[in-house]
Amino acid sequence: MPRRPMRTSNRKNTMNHPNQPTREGLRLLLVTILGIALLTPSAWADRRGVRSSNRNVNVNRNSNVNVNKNVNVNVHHDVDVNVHHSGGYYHNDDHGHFWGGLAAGLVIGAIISTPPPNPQTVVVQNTTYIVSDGVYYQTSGSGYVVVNPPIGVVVTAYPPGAVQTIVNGQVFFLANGIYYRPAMQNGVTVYTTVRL
Amino acid sequence: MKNQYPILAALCGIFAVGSVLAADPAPSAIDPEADGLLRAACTNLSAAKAFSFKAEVWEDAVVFGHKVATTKTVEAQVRRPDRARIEIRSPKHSRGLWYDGQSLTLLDRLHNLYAAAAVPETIDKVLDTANDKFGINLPLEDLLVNDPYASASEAIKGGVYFGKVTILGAPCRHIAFSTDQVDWQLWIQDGPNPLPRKLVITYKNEATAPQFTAIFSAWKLKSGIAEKTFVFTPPKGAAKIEILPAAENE
Repeated sequence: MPRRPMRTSNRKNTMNHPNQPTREGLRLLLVTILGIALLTPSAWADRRGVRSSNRNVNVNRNSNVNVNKNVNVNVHHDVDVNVHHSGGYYHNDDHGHFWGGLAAGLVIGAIISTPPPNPQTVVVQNTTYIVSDGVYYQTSGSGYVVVNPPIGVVVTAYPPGAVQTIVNGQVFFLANGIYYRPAMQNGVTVYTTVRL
Repeated sequence: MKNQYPILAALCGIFAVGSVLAADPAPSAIDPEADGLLRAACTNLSAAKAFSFKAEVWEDAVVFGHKVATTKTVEAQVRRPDRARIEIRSPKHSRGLWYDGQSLTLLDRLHNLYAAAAVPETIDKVLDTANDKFGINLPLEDLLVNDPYASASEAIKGGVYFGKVTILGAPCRHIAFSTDQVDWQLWIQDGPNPLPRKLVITYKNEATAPQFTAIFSAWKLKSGIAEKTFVFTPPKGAAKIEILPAAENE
């Protein structure tokens, strides 16, 4: 049987716009998304071929956010979608245009009114953050404020305007007093925040 | 005995066939024709000492509740059994990968940063090491392995041949296989030079059953590829960075 064309398929849908939730609804949504994000393999992971899909059937990598105390939250949704910042993960990168303004470099202090994609809530040194694609946010009355990441975490991009510097022969990116040390992980460049 | 109800018998026959079709039982066997086509394409590929191809890749991702398709291109050059050179480009990333028989080098072209790791002596082992130790999934690994038929057929539970289909103007033969983990389909160029023209992998056990699609072009089977192709030379101003163990995210 032929598929219904998009117009007829949509006719009876009552679309609840996902971006207009109440504050409470928003929190619930975050918690829900967090739960889902931790329970299911990321849809953004760089895809395995048939071979690895079958080989790694039971390789149950730990999806716990706080593994190794690394607070590897952003733990790669690797593919090529890097939603925010061109610097990020492997993300199917190419989603950038889907969230328009959200995607292009968010500066510290920027406020967004809708939840960032795949947000995860983490607590680092008694401070609660919401992390999405390696960008750290805190909630505020009007939405989500982009904040400096804590020291010692891995992020997928450095803030726009960061300056490349060489310290003891090692390359860093410096922004807002925080050094971002680049390294390759899961096939893409990631940045560990350090204070020198 | 003469059949007194030929029409009824015919109808019964039709219903019987119809009910079988309607039930569409899970393929429990591998259709020899599907297997033969897969084997022919793989043999054609594995017989080549070296080869190159281009691929346009589409991958599903679910973002903000939208299932969206993301794209990248892959250009691969392979010399069996231990050399590979891959370029991966997407709207926001540009990455190069060199395997020279001893080390695997990754170059982030956008940031001009690169990292290298010592890896084993064959492409097959590199694929495993890259995945297990560094979390790197090399694109289109199913075509890079030294024995693609053995690799592909290992976990197959069922296979079907679906006839002739044209992919971007090229007459192809459509085959489909299932394993416990994925369903995958291959469209193989018809004629004397059977090569993959399209690959679809459905990750059926994942929520929303995302798909991976690759459309192949510019296939070249060769007797060799020059060594310098596989040797990484850092671009001007490139900085070397550390490579970290795989992050645990799956």
